[in-house]
Amino acid sequence: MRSHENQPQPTRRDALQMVAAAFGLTALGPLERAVAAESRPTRARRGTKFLVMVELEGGNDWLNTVVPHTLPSYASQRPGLALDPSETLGLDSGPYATSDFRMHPNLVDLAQMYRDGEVAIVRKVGYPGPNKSHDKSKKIWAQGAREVANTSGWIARYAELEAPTALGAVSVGVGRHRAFVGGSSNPLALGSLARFRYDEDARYRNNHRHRVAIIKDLLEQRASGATRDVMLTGHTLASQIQGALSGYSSPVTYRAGALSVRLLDVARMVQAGFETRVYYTRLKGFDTHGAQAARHATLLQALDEGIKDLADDLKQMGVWNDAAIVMMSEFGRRNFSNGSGGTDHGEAGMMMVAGGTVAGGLHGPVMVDADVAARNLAYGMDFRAVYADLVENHLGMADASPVFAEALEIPTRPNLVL
Amino acid sequence: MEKWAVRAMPGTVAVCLGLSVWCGGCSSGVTSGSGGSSGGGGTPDPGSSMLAKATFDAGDVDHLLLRTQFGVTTGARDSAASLGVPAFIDAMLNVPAVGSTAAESEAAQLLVNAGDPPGLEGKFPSGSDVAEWWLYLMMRSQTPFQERLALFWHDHFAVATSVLNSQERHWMVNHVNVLRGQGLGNFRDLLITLSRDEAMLEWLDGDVNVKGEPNENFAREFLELFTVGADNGYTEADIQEASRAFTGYRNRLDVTTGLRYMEFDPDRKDIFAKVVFGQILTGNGETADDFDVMADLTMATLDVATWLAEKLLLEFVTDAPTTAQIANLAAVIAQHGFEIRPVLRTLFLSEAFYSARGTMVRSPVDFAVGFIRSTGLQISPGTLRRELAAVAQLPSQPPSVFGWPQGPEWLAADGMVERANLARRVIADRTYQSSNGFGVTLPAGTPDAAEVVDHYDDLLGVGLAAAERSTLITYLNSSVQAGPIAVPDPFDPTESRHVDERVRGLLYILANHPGFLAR
Repeated sequence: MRSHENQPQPTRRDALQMVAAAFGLTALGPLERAVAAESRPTRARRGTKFLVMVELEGGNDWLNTVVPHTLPSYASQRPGLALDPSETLGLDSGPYATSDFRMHPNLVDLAQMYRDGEVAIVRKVGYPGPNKSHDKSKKIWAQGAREVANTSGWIARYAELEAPTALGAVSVGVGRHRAFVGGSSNPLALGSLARFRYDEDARYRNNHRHRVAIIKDLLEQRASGATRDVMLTGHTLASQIQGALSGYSSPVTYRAGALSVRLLDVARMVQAGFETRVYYTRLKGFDTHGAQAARHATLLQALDEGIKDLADDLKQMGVWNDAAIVMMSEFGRRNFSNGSGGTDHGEAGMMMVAGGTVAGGLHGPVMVDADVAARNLAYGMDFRAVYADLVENHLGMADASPVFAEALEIPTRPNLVL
Repeated sequence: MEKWAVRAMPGTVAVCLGLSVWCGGCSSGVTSGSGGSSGGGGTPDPGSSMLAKATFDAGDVDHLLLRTQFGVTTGARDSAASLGVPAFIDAMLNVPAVGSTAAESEAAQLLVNAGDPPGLEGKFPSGSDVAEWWLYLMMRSQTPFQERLALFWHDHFAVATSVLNSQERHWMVNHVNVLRGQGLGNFRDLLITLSRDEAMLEWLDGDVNVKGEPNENFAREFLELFTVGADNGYTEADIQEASRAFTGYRNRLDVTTGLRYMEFDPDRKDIFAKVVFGQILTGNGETADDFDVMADLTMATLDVATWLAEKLLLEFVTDAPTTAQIANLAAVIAQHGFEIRPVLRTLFLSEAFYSARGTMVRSPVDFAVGFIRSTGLQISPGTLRRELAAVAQLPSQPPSVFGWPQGPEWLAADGMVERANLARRVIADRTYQSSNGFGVTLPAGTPDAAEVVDHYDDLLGVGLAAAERSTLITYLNSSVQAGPIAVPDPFDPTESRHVDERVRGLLYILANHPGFLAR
């Protein structure tokens, strides 16, 4: 039995009370804050499964994230960089207790979530013929296709088939990501919710509001057409998104890190009841060729805080069982450290998936010492098999093969969904 | 057309623009804009004809300016009217030598930084400096077609500054100057120059492509993007052999200047014979690289003219080229031996070019630079850089070697909001404009609201419907109070506040009209 299932999930009434607790307070406090008189129902839709993709951009050093501390080569390959078991965090309790791995000391909350049965670790994830170029490898992950030929992004393909509305798939703070390019659905790319609005002409605010109203009027009166329709969609979405921004309230206080800020935007959209099936954002800076220890620690702290904040928020909204938060990176890093206290571009890595209906614990091929004694971690599970598992068994697509059409050399899938 | 075909999955191609007469996705692939006959019979279809149009009206002039100069300006209109369209095109295709204009001298200052060593001023630009240098030229150049054409080649041979470090970024300035300076010469020469270009070598791993350890990055894109398109007459084995022919360069540091350079190094070159496209490529041995031999072999063996024709059509003529259009322009390219200047002259005079006005979707750069140039409301290059980054088309920083989205691919809701905000920035950048001598230019005399609306509708090529026109006349004839509530208040062109508030507001509304997104 998973430990968190022993604790009752918040009921709808609990959630309402939690939200009410925060509503009206200018500074949001922790869950236990005093109850405010006013009440605002959460609009988050229950039962609509969604993914939150979190890209660890730059090539995460997975071996120092989820540490295979029992393998002798781990320490011998990384003098000065290997983490000592005394500082790392144990995963050896809870429903999926393991002593094979420990987590980086800054992954305090993710380690706890693992022990609570809410985090899956997928080992040896990659693809055949690893490419050590950031650009090429990111492209392979984004397109979900190993062939170098240009193709559309996997999220664009998914959205076109399964979520073809303006809010079907939304990225936050990643520009026009290649996973979103192609297809007819034109998934929404947001810098941030706050940015998605019609800026004011500060000198003539009233006049500018009038201008925007005229523009919208003119568009509404025109016959439908591709340009007119998408411009009008812009106006509609801007209202919805500004509504999500202003209507959001939560007892959860997000921390200020780069990832938390973006995940807060995701939470706002979830709470607003958007029909979004795939959210996508990233944390940058994982290309740790030099002086890795401190930089990696900072990044993992930001990751840990962001995931924890979002998870708490989704739990209080009552949609934790609908969420799967997926953490991945374009490649892992070398098994051995380089001469400048860092690690160079490697091959396979791992993934972590968190959520209320995620089958926690270890997935993917068992790692043995030879894996870490080699120069690079070899892949033993294709990332597309992981994605396909999530797309079918979490998002509920009957058959993910139109999204991931390429035949896989290693087709074995994990079973990440309870 | 691999690049577009793969992006335009089923559903995208069948998009019809809500703009007058044309449907980009008509399965017959026929344009109906000119009213010409397209079915059977012996009548050539004007939509695909490369024969010169007989006469040109004012609408044709505006169309030419919109497609080739970022947009209409009164100066260019006057020039075309006095010269006549053919002579105007000849003048347009006669671009000044790189480095010879006042705008370039001004722009070059944007590359200079305080810490530059004496004699090396401008050689250590930041990535932002490079972008702003070129954006300044786009906004201010007296020969905007030079920048417009360079932007086309930039999308075709897409290289991004982001891969260059501070010792290398001067390569990007050289690279853009090749696009600006050689874009009207022979395609073969441009192809070879850009293949050896230092920014290109770095971008596509030319400097780590060495004998015994070939790197296929450049060879693949050379074929897939620069010359013939994916899966079009070559094999994976050809890519592997071609990559051997592209060996021979190394990235070196000049310790005196602190600048990097690419050097041909015979020791890194694979001198042995390669078999490319079923032919033995012997090459230049140890004396020089084989890039020219590869370019010649490719152009002699594969159908480069068709690929280039399609790219030129997608840039200047239509978002959905027909087979007939491609074949006809390819024939022109072949006839002129890949000399770009006469090819473009033929294209810009052709029936096909004028057959479907206002049917293409403007890219963000075309939208922004066009709005700025047509209205005369210049903004600082730094402001434009930030705005274009927000709208995801910053020249010098294409997202990948595949360049930018094209045509209808730009029609995303987030991009529309960003464009509105870009237009907002242009009309609201009053401080920069007043301190640099720019401002709203009204039609001569004391125009009333209708004349002002008509003037900008015409200049920006919006094409307002009658009801829209009267809405905007009413807008100009109103003051707006909190609410917002519009109250009748006749427009007075001598009232500076009316101009500052209402005319700028009119420009903002027009920029947010579907007609302004078309070209």
